[in-house]
Amino acid sequence: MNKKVCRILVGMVMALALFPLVASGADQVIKLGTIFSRTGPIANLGMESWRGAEMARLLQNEKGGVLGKKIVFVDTDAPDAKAAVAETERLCTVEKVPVILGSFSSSICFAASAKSEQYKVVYWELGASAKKITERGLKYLFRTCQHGDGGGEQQLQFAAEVLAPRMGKNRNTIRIASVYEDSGYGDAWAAGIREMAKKMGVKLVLDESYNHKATDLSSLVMRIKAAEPDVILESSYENDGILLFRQIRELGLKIKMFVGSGGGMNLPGYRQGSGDGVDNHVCNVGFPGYNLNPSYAKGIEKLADLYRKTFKQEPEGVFSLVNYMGAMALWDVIKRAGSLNSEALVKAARETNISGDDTILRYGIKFAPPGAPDMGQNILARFFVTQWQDGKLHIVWPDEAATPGRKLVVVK
Amino acid sequence: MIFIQILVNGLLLGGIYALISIGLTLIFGVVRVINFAHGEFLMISMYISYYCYSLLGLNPYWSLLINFPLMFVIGMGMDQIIIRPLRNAPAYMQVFATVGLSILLINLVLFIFTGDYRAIDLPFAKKVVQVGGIYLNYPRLIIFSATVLITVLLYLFLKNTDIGKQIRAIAQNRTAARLMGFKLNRIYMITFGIGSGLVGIAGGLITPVYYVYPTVGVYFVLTAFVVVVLGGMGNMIGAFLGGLIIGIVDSLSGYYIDPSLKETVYYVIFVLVLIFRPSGLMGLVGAEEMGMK
Repeated sequence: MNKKVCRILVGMVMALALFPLVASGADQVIKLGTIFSRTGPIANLGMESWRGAEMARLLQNEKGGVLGKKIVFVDTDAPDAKAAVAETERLCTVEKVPVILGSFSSSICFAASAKSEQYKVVYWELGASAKKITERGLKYLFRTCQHGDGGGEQQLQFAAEVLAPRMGKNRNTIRIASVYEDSGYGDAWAAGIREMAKKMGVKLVLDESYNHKATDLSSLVMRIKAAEPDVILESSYENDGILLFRQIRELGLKIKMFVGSGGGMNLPGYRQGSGDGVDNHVCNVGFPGYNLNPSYAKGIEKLADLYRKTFKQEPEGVFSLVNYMGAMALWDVIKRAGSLNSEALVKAARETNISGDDTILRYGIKFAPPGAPDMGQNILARFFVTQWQDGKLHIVWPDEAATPGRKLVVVK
Repeated sequence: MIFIQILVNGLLLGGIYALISIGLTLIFGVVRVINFAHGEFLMISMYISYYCYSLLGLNPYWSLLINFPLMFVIGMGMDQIIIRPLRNAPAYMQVFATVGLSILLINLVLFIFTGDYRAIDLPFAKKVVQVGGIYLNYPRLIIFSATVLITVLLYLFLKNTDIGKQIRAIAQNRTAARLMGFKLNRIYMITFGIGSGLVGIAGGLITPVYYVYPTVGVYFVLTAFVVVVLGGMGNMIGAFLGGLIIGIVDSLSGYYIDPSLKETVYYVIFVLVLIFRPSGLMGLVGAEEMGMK
C-alpha cells in the first residue's frame, strides 16, 4: 500500500482508539455544583460547611456513587451574593449541573437559589438560616436544616423554660435581652425570638441589632448595661461575637448567661478570642458538633475519623455535620428519582420521608409540600443546645444527646 | 454618668482611628498618593504582632520594636517599587496600583494564613480600671496615650529636624522644593516609610484589643479615610482631632440613635464635609485637589 493510505488508516485507528476514552470520560461521573464562601469574611464558616458535603460525597462514592456513577463536585466560591449569582449562572449554563448544593450564608442562598430557579436547577440548601428562604414558593429549592426563626423560637424557649427556673426565676421575672447582627442571619433568629416572646407572654428588656462589620460595639454594650438583663440571646458571627464579649467585659458588665445562635459563637476561634470567661456562661442553640453522644448519633465516631483523615485537622466546628446529613439525603433523592432530570428530582424530593432513626442527627427529613407557606422546608429539623465548658463546646440538651459526662451548667 | 462613659468610650475609640489615620494623611500630604493599601499594612502589622506572640512568646508591646522598622522598610519598598514608576502618571493610575496591591495583599495573606480569626489572649488586655464609676480599659488607654505621644513627636519631628523641614517644604510646594535642590525621591521614600511605620505601630497596639484576619484593614481604613478628609488631607493635627471627633460621634450616635446606624452618621458627616468644606477642618483650601495636579 502506498504511504498516503497507510497514514489515513493509522489516523482512523488512532481516532477509534480515542473515541471510547472521550465518550467514557463524560458518562462515568455525576457532576454536581457547590456554592460556598471559600474566601471573604465568612470563609472559615463556608469552608467548614463545605467539608460536610464533601464527606458525604466521599462516603457515597465509596459505596459506588449514585445511579452507578461517582459524584464529582464543581466547587465554586461566593464571598458575597453578587459572586453567588455569577457562579450560579456559570454552573447552570456552562457546567450544566442538575443540582447545586450550598451555602451556609442566607444572603448567598437567597440570591443563588432565585437564579437557579430560573434555570430549573435543583438547589439543595444544607445550612442557611433565614426563614424567608423557603417562603418564596420556589419549586426547585429544598432546605434540609432548621431555619433561624425556628431557632430563635428555641432560643427564647430555652431561656424562659430551661434557664429561668435554674436561675431562681420564672418566665415573668427573668430579664431577657435580644442582640443580633443585622443581616439575613441575625434578623431571622431575632424575628423568631420576638414571635415566641409574644406567644409566651415574655417581655424582652432589649431588642437591638448591630452591624457585624463594626469595629466598635461600646455603644451597644452601654444600651445592654442600661437594660440589666439576666440572659442575653445573641446572634453573631465570629468576629463581632468576640468583640461584643470582650467589650462587655471591658465595660464592667456582668452577664450570667448567653444563649447564642450558632453562627460565630460555635467556632473554636470565638473561644480563643474571647478567653475562658466564656466557659459555663455561653450556650448555643444550633447545630451540633462531633461530641454528640455516640449512642445517640450512630456512626459519628467514624465520621470524625474521616474528617481527620481527609482534612488533616480536628473536627471542632459544628457546621459540617448538618451539611453532611443534608447531602446524604440528596443521594437518597437522586436514587429514588432514578435520573438527573429536574422534574424527577423534585418529585422524589417531595416524596422524601426519612425517619429520625436513620439519620445521624436523629431528626427526620420531610419537606413541606407545594402549597404550604414554607414549601421545600424540612419540617422535622430541629436544633440542639451546646455549652462552652473547659474550653470545648459540649452538647447539653436534649439530655439524651448530651456528651457523655456533661450536663448544662447554669450560673445564677 | 452614662453620658460621660459614652464620651470616654468615644475618645478611646477615636484614639485608635486617629493613630491609623496619621500615617495615611502624612503619605497623602507629602507623596500625594491615596494609599488604598493602608488598611492592609495595618493588617500585616497585626499579623506580625500575632505571630511574634504565638511563635516567640513576645508581648505585643515589645514587638513594636519589630513592627515599626519592618513596616518602615515595607513602606519604603512599596514607594520605590510601585509608586515611583507612576510618579508622573495620572492620579487614577496610582489609585489602581494601590487598590491592586490591597487586593493582592489580602488574598496573599488569606492564602498563606487562611481566613481564620486569630486573637491574642493577653491577660493584661482584659484589665479594667475604674475611675469614679467610669470604666477604662488598659490597652485602649495605652493606645490613646500612644496616639497623643506620636502626634506630638511627629509634630516636633516635622518642625525641628532637617528631614522634617524638607518633608514640609515638599508638601507645601513640590516644584519650588525641586528647584531648591531637594532630593524628592528620597524624601518620598522616607515619608512613605514613616507613614507605614506609624500604621505598623497602630497595628501592634490594637492587636491585644481586636482579632486578626485578612480583611481587618478594610473596615478600619474606611473610617480612616473619613477621618483624613474631616481633618484635612496632609494635616497631622487635623487627623488627630478628626479621629477623636469620629470616635465620639460613633459612640454617641450608637447609644442615642441606634447601634446599627452609627456608621451611617459618620458617613453622612463625610459627605457633608466633602460638599461644604472639602479641604477639611484644618486643611489648606485647595488641598483636596493636590493629588490631581
